[in-house]
Amino acid sequence: MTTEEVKKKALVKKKEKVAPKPEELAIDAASQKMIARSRELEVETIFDRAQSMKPCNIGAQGTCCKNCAQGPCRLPLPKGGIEGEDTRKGLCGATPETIAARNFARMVAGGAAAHSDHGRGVAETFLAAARKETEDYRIKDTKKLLEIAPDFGVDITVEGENGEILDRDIDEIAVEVAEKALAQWGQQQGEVCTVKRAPAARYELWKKLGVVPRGIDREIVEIMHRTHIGVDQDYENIVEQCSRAAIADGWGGSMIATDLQDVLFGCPYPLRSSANLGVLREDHVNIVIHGHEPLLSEMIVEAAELPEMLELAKEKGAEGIQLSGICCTANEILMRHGVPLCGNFLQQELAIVTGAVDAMVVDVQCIMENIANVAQCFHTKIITTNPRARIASGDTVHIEFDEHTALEDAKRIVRTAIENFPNREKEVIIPDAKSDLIAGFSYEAINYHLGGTFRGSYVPLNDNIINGRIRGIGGVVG
Amino acid sequence: MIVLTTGCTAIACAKAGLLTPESAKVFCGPGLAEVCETVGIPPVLHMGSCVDNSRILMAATEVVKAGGLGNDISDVPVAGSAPEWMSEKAISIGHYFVTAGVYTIFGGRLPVDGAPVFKNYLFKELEELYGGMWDMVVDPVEHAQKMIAHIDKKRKELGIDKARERVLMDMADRQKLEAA
Repeated sequence: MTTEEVKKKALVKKKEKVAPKPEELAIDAASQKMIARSRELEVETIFDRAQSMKPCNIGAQGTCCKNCAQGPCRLPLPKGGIEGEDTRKGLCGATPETIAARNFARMVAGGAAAHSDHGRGVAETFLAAARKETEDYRIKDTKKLLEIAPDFGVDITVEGENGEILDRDIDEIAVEVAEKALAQWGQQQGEVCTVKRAPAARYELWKKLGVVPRGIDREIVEIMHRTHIGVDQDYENIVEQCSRAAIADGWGGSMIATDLQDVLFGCPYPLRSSANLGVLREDHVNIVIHGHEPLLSEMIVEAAELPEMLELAKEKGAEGIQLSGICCTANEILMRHGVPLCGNFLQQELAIVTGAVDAMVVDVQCIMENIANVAQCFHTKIITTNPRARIASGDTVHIEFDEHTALEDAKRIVRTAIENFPNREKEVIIPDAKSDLIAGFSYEAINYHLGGTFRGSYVPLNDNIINGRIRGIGGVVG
Repeated sequence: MIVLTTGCTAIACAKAGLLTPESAKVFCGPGLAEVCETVGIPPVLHMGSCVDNSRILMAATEVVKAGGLGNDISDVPVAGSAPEWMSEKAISIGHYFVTAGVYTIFGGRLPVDGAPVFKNYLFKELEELYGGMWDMVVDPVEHAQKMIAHIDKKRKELGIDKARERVLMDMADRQKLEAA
């Protein structure tokens, strides 16, 4: 074949490639509609990019090592599989096992760091609230505070002058819990205290295996050290460190985040709401809150309900303000305020494509850089709020959020959204799709539901599992 | 099976209409549907954001404490799943589920196929240490079947795998029970 012929053939092949239909890309009708709309407007989204970007085969197998400059070393499985001894090695001699374990460990470190740094932020705000350094956050759920205090080794009673047992001052308890909680991150020795909440047999097993985490940050840092060139080269030993960091996340950083968020904002109980892009309203200022932390979103909920904000919205020609959320910050304000869910991770660009989003306010985690590019095709303002998470693409606004001036910052954000309402240019198309839902099942709420206030208990659940009416429990997440 | 959910999966369940009590009658077997109707809860319980997976750990701990289903989380008929995982956070969550003693299955590809010995360690040998282990199946039906199979294995180990007839007892029956 001549060069010309090859080129011609390649060109024909390229032309033959037809983009899959929206129905082949998403099961959700609202998403399908917005994918079609994005194509009509020639706005590129993840659904288009996924067609041209194929995953790296070596990375997908977990056997690309770029932890030093001798490589990157690539150790994919041989095409015909492994025959006899597996002789694959990186330049330093690292086996595929060592490399895959290192990569796996660094994912655990990344994940645990994300959850736990979120928890740290909550603990810092909690401390500021307990010390009354901020007027915007208060201790809301004292019942939960009293429940969790003993787990942090904080007394909830004091001895009176005559030896009688008295209730301890709630503010004093809050400050001590905050300090003890925050100390779990930097602790160097001992045990992350909330790990003891696990069933006794589990805790004893962890002790026997030597995986009880010492401090939240320490275990994450140690993963980074062990996976550096030439340190831990035994995959079982690497996984052992993964266990310490992951336990420090689930039973530490994440658990403390949940605890303190509940005390600050209230433990969730069941409530009604709705979900999907259809929660956006054409005649309202739409503020979509996206990311993961409730610290900012709680304040935006408060700010958006202020009469002065509603007046400003009306002045700008809107009927009101519609808040909705994407990803976990959405779940946080859904659980406590019933704020509707606009969508999940893969719908963040599609929400903007409706043309109805006046501002998308983001904090941390799972925010696609491309929302900044999609927003440029519409009037939508992307407002970044966290010093950890800024976006260089597109034209974003940064309004930094500080727990000491939280409500003021939230008001600025809401005002920016309202003032953007008259700038809508493109036709607004909101899919007519939303589903009713009930959310807010904290484990305390399940306890209450199963037995009521005075005899709340998990016994009825166990009974129904034992008698076979319920086969078992599935924890489905991600 | 009653499902506890968080994060983006919870939002997907919401869109599919699974977070309403009424959905129990449509999608669930008679046993679970009856429980949902009696208690007034959906068959899929939204427990919050992804840091709120700690609520699932606490719920599992409460189940152990309530008694009758073993001594540890690894005894309870429970299975974990991240059907459409994508973030590093999910890997950390998966590993704290596994170390808590939970069989944990991921949809989507885990980057371990290139290292078969390491994969075997995560998928099989960890069970000997923790009572929980990793697994990965992309096909949603097979994925769910594997969760059910694990739950059935745990039911068998607890000796509660045989369906029991519901017996209505009167006082005389109860006295007989107590005498025995």
